Amino acid sequence: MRFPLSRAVLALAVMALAMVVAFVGTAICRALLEARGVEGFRHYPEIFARLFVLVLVAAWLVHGWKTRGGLFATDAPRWLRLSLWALLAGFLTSALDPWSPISDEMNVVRYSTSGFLLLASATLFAAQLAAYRWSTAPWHWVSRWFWGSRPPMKSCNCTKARARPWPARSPRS
Amino acid sequence: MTLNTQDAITLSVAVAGLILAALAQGVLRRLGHSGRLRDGERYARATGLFTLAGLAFFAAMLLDTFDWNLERGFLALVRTLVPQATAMPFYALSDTDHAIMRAANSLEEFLELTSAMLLFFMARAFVSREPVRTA
Repeated sequence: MRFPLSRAVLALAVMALAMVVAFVGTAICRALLEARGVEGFRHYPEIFARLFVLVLVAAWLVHGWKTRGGLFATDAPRWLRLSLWALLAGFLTSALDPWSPISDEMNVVRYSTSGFLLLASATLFAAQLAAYRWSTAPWHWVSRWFWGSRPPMKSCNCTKARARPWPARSPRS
Repeated sequence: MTLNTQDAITLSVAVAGLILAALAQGVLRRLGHSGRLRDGERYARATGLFTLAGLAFFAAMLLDTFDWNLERGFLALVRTLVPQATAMPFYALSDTDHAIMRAANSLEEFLELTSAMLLFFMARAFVSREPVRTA
């Protein structure tokens, strides 16, 4: 297996750079606040984490703009671009949200995560509805989940047989 | 460095998952080169996306579990590289507030989001209708 080592090294360098930028920015914030006489400010690590994330997102945006890929790919399908923009929106809302802390596991990024998981499960569920005959009986779903495929059901709302899209028929047979 | 049972279990499972996902990527690549996946390209794509999602999630779990050790290692590196006098504000910042731990935790959240997005891509690749090649 040929692993893209240079890209991994580049990603690690970007992460180190993000850490350095976040460190310097937080130190500047601390110096400014202490020069103004603000003592005991508790949110320096929050500033650090948000700067870190914003530098990573900015690097991703610059790379996508330079290579015309990812977010800015014009030849990609619409759902892919929409998903990437939703990913960016999740990053930015969680990095700029002033109410929930990004680093205390109370973060709006989890809404985006559960949204993507919900989309994935809805996609697979719709595909299952399209591939198999539909039934209201829950034991059919349990048995399909447990044994895979079962003999044809007796109570079924389908009146005519449809071509089964899965598994795909081989052209040679 | 102390390693409790929960951290040890997480480490072993995540490392095993990383190895399995990398092996699956290699097997998929070899099968693609050998031309044996001609009729099932979307299955190969879905499996590849699933292993990528697994890689992202295992990395997130490693960051989530070993953020403390990451911070200690980072601070040790800073203390080795930077002289004592210049590094004092950095000590004060990172030793009291655990900035590296919090950065690792936020990065873990973003890796989880990426993993969820890759799982959605896996579902899309699995249900996509590709034209059957007849050649």
